[in-house]
Amino acid sequence: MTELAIAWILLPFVAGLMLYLLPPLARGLTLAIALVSLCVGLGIIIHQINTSFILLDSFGVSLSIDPLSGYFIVTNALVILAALLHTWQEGYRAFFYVLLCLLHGCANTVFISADFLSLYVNIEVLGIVVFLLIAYPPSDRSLWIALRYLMVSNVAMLFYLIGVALVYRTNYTFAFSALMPAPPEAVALILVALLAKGAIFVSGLWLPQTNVVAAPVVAALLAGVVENAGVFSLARLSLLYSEIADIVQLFALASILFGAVFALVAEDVRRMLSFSTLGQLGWVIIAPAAAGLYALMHGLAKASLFLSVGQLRHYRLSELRQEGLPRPVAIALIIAGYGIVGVPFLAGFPAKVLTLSYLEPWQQGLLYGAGCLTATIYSKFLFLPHYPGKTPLPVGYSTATMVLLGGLFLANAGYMEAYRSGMGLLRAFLLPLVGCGLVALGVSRWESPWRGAWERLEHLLGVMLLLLLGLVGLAL
Amino acid sequence: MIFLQASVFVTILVGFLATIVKKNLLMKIVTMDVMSTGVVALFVVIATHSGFVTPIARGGVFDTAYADPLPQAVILTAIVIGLSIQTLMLVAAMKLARDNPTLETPEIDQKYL
Repeated sequence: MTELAIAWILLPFVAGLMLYLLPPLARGLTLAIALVSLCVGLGIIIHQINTSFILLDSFGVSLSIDPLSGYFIVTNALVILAALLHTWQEGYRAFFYVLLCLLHGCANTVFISADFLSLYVNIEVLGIVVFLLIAYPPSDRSLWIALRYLMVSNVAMLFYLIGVALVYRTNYTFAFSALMPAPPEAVALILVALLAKGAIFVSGLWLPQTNVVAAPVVAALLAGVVENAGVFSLARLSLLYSEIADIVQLFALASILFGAVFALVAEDVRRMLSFSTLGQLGWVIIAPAAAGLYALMHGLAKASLFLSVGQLRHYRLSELRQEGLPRPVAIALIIAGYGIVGVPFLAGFPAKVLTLSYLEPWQQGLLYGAGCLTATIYSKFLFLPHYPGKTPLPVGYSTATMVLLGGLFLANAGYMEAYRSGMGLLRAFLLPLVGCGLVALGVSRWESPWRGAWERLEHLLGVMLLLLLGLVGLAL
Repeated sequence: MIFLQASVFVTILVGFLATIVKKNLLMKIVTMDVMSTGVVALFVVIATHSGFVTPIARGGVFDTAYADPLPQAVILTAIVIGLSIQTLMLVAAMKLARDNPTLETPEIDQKYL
């Protein structure tokens, strides 16, 4: 068991480094790795594997595998698979696939690591890979956005290291299970870093402009893999400690409302989707016990949305209303969007029901309100004019979308009990109606190209300091 | 000891605040390095909880008050990662300097954001 797990962790790294020597094998090897991880993830979920082991001795790397990591691994594998299919015929260099393999490997290791240091190393390497991916299209603009990401992530991880040092000083181990006797400032430092990496609430404001500038396939990877790696450790820690769960829940609620409101007033489709990501990541961590299914649903749907947006010629909603969009792309956008809203027969519905079942009534009320806003955001796609596509869509895009939307449908199996309650089904059908009604009433007139100063580098760093102070207050 | 720890935290804080206050991109990268130096020093200070002697056993004697080897070993990884990130940031700054010779971050932000 242990040997198999180690072999599976090492596989993407070995393959990634080998690809440099054997560029013709790049796509085939990446495909094999994604399929292996898909099988491993599904195996963990279906057999409910729950195991943990320590490599070397008492100071070694501790890993733990459970169904929660299984869901994240499946998401990771499917999104990598979709990215691979999408770029299959586009003539990307082998270097891109090296990055893809390394990204996959780091994210997988994040999902099974159970001590602060292996988490640190993998998140840092993930940050470097993301920097290279964002800067992949050679332009100064993408380079600056990538550099901004790297700086924010570097400062966040330095905070994280200080927190880890304080944890070590308290009881001389780096295991997750040793966090709680540590002083509150250690908890605050670790949380502020994970919030920034996972793009929760205001610390996730690096995300919107990154998604605008990055290539569509990279935006899909960000939504499906990178942010999941950030929020996973928040979910893990909330499951271990109820004190942390309370703080994380507060931030999750703030993020859900914040993301929904700003997505509603965004004019650029890509910014709209990014702000919606901010909100949906809040949904992932608000009920850590349901995080797996929700992350799977959101990763697949958002990756598909970003790939579809990449097929458009205009990105501003006002232009799209005049010019329209090709019909197949419109259908993909509507299906994936309503998947996130939580329409039955797509995985969003069971994921939302499961998440809400863990929450207090007042939180459920707030989330229903945010759900109406989300429904409004995605109902905008329904009102865009569409025309039959004259030129056929790229095969890569079509197969990638098939994989993602197919996964979105099959993920229903994660929680079939959701379909037993009639009230839940009724509510789920009501939400899109409310959304369409609000769009018909004309909420679209609030859209504006406004971009706050808070997305600048200095402000992103400054916000981290403010959050840190707030978190110390909360943790005391 | 308290004095040492205090100066480590001051180094980290100065590095971080300078990252926000300094406008020049190169200065930002350098101040980030100051901050990470502070973090490395913090790990070294924490390693002294069991003693100050370098943790290498000499002549089979184990009863000396050795420093804790684990934080020192661990921070090596962080130093290597920090170095590679520093290099990447400097390369990016080099490329950006071609079109933005002053490297003032507010200007670059205005131009590219």
